[in-house]
Amino acid sequence: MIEGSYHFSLTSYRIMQVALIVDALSNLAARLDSPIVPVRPLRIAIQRFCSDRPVFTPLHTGLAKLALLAKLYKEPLPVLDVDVEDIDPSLGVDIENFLSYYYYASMIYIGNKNHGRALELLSVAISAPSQAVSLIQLESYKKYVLVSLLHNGKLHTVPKYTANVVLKSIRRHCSQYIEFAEVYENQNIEELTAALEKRRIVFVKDNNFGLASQCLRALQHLKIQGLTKTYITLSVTDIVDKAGFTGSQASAEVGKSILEMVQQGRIFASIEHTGPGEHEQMVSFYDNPDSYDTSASLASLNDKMTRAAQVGERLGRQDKSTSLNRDFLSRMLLMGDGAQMPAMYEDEVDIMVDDDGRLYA
Amino acid sequence: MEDIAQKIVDKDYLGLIDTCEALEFEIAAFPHDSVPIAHVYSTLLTCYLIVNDLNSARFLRKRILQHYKTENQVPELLNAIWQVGTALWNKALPEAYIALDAYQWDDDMKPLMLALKESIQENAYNLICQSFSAIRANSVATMLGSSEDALAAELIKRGWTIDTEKQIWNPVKAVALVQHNISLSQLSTLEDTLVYLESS
Repeated sequence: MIEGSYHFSLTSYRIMQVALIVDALSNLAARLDSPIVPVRPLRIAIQRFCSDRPVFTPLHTGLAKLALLAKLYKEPLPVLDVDVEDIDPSLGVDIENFLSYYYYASMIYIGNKNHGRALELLSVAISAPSQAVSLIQLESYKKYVLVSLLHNGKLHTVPKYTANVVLKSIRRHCSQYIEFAEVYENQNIEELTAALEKRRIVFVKDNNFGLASQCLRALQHLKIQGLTKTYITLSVTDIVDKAGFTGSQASAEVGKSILEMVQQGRIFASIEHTGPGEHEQMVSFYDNPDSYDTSASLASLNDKMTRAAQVGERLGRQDKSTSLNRDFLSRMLLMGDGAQMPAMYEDEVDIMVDDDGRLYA
Repeated sequence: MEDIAQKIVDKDYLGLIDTCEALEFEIAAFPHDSVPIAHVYSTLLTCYLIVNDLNSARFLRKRILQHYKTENQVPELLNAIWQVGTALWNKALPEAYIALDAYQWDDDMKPLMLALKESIQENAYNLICQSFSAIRANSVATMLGSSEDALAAELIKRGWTIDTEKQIWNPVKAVALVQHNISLSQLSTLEDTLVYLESS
């Protein structure tokens, strides 16, 4: 029924009008007191409009925000999974739209426990070209620190093209988070518990306490994962000591963690009960038994190669159109006159493009 | 309504999820009484649990709370289903079985709840095969939500062996079938890839 109302193709003129619909729909949702109403129509509208080229529209921000409000974390994924490749200012988007979209979308992925993708989106928000720092970028960085710990076990540096002013204010305003990450990297559970407790008020105020508490569990898993590299067989009591679990439920917790990690395929282990007591169990660790010679791994490899080829092709096209852009060319010519080049373009100068747009660097 | 009933009979749980998700939107936008929203919620929540999509179940629970405003107003049935969901989220299998048996499910819900129990048991069984080389008989019983005696015959049929003295089972490792099929499409992809690499 809802789908029916969008059976026309959206031109860019219409999308401007549809942008107004975001406001109208969210008003309607507030009136009807059911926040889920606007989410599906918005998703369908974006999919129709962006079916031929993944361009950023004001609807994207609306969708991500309204989906969060409505607690619909699965519905917007078909749109969010597509990487935005083009931004067209004539569609009425501004930098605030853009940053909010990446911030909200990353929160949706965090909810779906897809930390890798959340990290990608957050780093886009942080590294957006800026002359001044946006609050959204600072909030994004806070989440970036915690998600990075959850996903990689350490704090990854932000992309090197991140604007200097952003880097500076990150150091000034997110110091609590950076310190927390430093404690995490020492891999000591007691220290981390203390560090978390100490920053409770800050994290709660930023709505990041839940995410930060997950880091504790993640560190325990990381430590178990570390043990698999050193030991072949360990008793559960040993694991409790070595991974720094505490409390009366420690051995049960270890058992649960190991089962969880085996299920996720993060470690390869088998548990052996040796007697009737709760403590009488051994854990043996194995290497990954998959030798990647099945047709499934071949198919996944093929898939990845096709995608890489497609990205390469699109990049080539983009590069060609940029190198033919009048503004870009005149700027490059000016720079050629000995003017100091801004750091942003340093890399691009090295890439030479021949006349059919192919790279020969 | 008939659609939902038919899909329950067909055990088409993914189809049910699609139907119920669509209904959830439709009822929110154009309130009508042909299907009560509580029925959509209960079916959808159970189906998410059956297909083990705990994340979606968790967010549906949040939507349910949003819909009914306070926890007291949420229908008892939805709370009872979520009890099972909470136990699964905490990976506490015994509590999940207790929650399943604690509530008197009505006739509409019974087939879904039975399917849910089977799905939980099947997952637990696979988990044991995947991660245990030897496991105490009482642990098997708690993980599968059944008594040791009732399980024995079934497990022996599945090829497990038991050390009767210590009461420890040796599960059979599930062996994944390795297939080495090379299809024509794979060859043609290979060809495309080569051509691409050649040209760039």
